Amino acid sequence: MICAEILEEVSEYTQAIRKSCEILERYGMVTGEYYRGIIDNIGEYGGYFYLGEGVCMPHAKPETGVLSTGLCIIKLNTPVDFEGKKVRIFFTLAARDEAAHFVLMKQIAGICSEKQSLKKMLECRSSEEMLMMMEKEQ
Amino acid sequence: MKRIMTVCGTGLGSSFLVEMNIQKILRELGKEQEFETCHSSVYEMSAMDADYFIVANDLKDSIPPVEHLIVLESLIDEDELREKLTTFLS
Repeated sequence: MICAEILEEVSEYTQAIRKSCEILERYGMVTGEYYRGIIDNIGEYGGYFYLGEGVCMPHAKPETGVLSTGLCIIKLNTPVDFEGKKVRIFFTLAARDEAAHFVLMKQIAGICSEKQSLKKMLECRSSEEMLMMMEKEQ
Repeated sequence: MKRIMTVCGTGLGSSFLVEMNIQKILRELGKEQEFETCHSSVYEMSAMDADYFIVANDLKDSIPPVEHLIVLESLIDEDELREKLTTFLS
């Protein structure tokens, strides 16, 4: 399952990750533990899930509270600093197992690897528009 | 057949994404029969696991020494990946 939300701005990047984890939790995809899991990962490896071009993909291991595979996309109208990089899109991924999140990864790769698609995603004015873009990548 | 391994922090996010892009580029180059791809995490990988390793700049110092290493500045810039792969594999 994919959910999406557009936020005007956040005071720091952890707020965007927290928000996306809350949404994933609301839809039963992760437990409350998942946010902590992601933050601990950053402590351990730094900003390794920064993908480039203002996009990052926060995630943690399945055993840190993933209940089912899903994705929450948060787009910021104002970029936020993430370990020295300016980020506008957070693809917060909950991966139960590899086979299940293959399709999600394909969709994310499809959007991110095409400069035009990424630009279009940044221009979306509603979460519905963003979800429609993701659907087209299936 | 030579093996290309992408490596990231958890072995299920970024490395998987880059692996997909590599497969696409190998098909473009007509080299998909010559190379197989896989992905792993910094903790699980060893230098014996593959012939070529691909890692993000942030993690290049976290992996054990390997003979053939491609370091990527951006994990979603297909042009960078294509350019580096083409140079490396030719």
